[in-house]
Amino acid sequence: MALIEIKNLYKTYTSEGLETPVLHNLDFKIEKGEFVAITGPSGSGKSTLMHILSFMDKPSCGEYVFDGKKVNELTDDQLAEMRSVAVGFVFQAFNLLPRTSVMENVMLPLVYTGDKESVRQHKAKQALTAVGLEHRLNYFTNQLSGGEKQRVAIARALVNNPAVIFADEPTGNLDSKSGLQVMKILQDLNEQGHTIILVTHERYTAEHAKRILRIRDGIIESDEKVVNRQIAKGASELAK
Amino acid sequence: MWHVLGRNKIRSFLTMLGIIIGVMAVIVVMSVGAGAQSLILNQVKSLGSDLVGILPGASDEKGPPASALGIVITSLKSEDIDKIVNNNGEYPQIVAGTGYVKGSDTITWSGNGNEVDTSFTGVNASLIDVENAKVAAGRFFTEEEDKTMARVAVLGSDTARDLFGEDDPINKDIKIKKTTFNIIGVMARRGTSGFQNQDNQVFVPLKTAQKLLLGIDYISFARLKVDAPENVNDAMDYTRMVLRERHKIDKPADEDFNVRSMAQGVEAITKITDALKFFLVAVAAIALIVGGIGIMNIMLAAVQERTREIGLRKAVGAKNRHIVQQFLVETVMITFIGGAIGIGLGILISFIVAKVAQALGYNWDFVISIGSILLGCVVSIGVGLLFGITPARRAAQLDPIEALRYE
Repeated sequence: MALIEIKNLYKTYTSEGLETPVLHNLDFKIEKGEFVAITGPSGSGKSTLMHILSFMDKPSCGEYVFDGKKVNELTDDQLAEMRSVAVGFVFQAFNLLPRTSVMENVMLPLVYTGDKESVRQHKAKQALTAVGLEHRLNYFTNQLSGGEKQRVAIARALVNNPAVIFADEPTGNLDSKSGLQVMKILQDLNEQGHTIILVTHERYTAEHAKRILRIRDGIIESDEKVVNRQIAKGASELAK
Repeated sequence: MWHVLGRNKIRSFLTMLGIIIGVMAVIVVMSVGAGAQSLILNQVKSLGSDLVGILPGASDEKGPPASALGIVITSLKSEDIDKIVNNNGEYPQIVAGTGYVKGSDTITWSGNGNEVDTSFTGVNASLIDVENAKVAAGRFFTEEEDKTMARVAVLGSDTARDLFGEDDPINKDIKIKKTTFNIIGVMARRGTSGFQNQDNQVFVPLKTAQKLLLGIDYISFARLKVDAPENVNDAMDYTRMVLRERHKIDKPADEDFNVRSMAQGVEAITKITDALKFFLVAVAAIALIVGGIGIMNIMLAAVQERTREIGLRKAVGAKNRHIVQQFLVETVMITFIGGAIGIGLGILISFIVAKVAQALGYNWDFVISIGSILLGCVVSIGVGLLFGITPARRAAQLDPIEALRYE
């Protein structure tokens, strides 16, 4: 059974009586362990698709089955619970809490799962070690560089050990070196078995994934495996 | 939670200020109100709860006595009191009684030429028993001296000091209204009562004051002492009966006198001061409402400012109730800390007021009731909940996608 199954999915925004169709009749599956890039020009509907896949938005019609659960039938609270345990987010703008320590930022999703403080700290340290930031635990987020901020965000996405990590233009606000570092971490996480869905408009970034879903004007233009996959080099080599 | 408040120390403090001032005002008003009440009641009670007062003039329990309005009524006589007290065993529960007349004059002592403006009070010898008064030096005058219009005087402690300084006043002669009086005693210090300094007066025998100093045959008022407080009502009935008989009055409605007990006075004063306290607390409560509105304003601004944070929290799994909880707890935290500071400052100010009042010689109790502290806590939490719910719900209703895009 596929982890994500989308059947005849439509999304239409209605504003002041005016209907704006965004997604048309999408059909695709994503298996566990995949690294999929959703790409397309701005306005193509790729962000809307990501919001639906990540339980932040609901489809207008059609079916979305996640790990055997029909997402259409979930209540708002159940959707929040799915966001809490099933997915992790990495945003273009980092979205870290200002004037708050790295540890606390990473522990944030655990606040809503009811873990004990000691468990939270243990999990957060593990996640930060996975992104190579174990030496920055008590730094405030505003003391970090852009690349470090995004790695904190990845640690935060990782801390619940979610089924899927969503990365929305994760390199968009970074210089190329830091961007590569971030892609390297995502590729490593994928190697370790995490399912990763990357949203980007850059072809080069998308080619770090194993599969690319191209969207244009709300329909899937192409869905193919990456032939010449970009492999980001290790952080230590980049540091040189 | 703490770091959110700590992040904006000045703003948190300014936000709390309204609550601090409001709660402080409530605590101070309640404490100072209770202190002032105790002051007045202590003075009234110090005269004794076993006293019955008789005032001339029609009986009207609700209105002020005629004498308070400056009307002189001559219907009450010294003999009326004699008759009530010396009732040949008919009503032994009334153990003592005295009439009062008052006047004022400049009193002089030729020894050092000192002059004191003071009041003189004509009373019966039994004043000592009626008012539980004590003589510090010498003696009070006797019934015999009262009857024979003796020219003797007993000084209040302040009057004695003002007139004689370090000298011993006993057996000295002073002049009141050009009449020479021999000083036979000095009263012990009594403090103020009903806003009147009890120590700045001269006691002379009632009859002496009536005939020699004032030229009148009536008394201004009288006080009777009853053997026990529970007999006061009965004693009042007896007093009315005797007076009606002596004044030839048939119906109680036609009474030309007014018999009151100290208990009634205490009750009336308590009612007035309670109403005053309630009014002042209501005024202080306005400060709390203003403070609450200020907090709501700040929290609404905070929700706006933290839109992205709210979006993020929802994206990582916060349910609507988590967001409501977070903002509500933050608001209540602010108001509760403000309330706690307000309670502390309120107690401090009340304590200072009490100490100053005590230093000025007032019989002022420092009263902080558990009730007022609980009220302060409950009100500050309540204000937080009341004014925090709107911003919290607004925060919870934000759409996470739009909140994350918010610039």
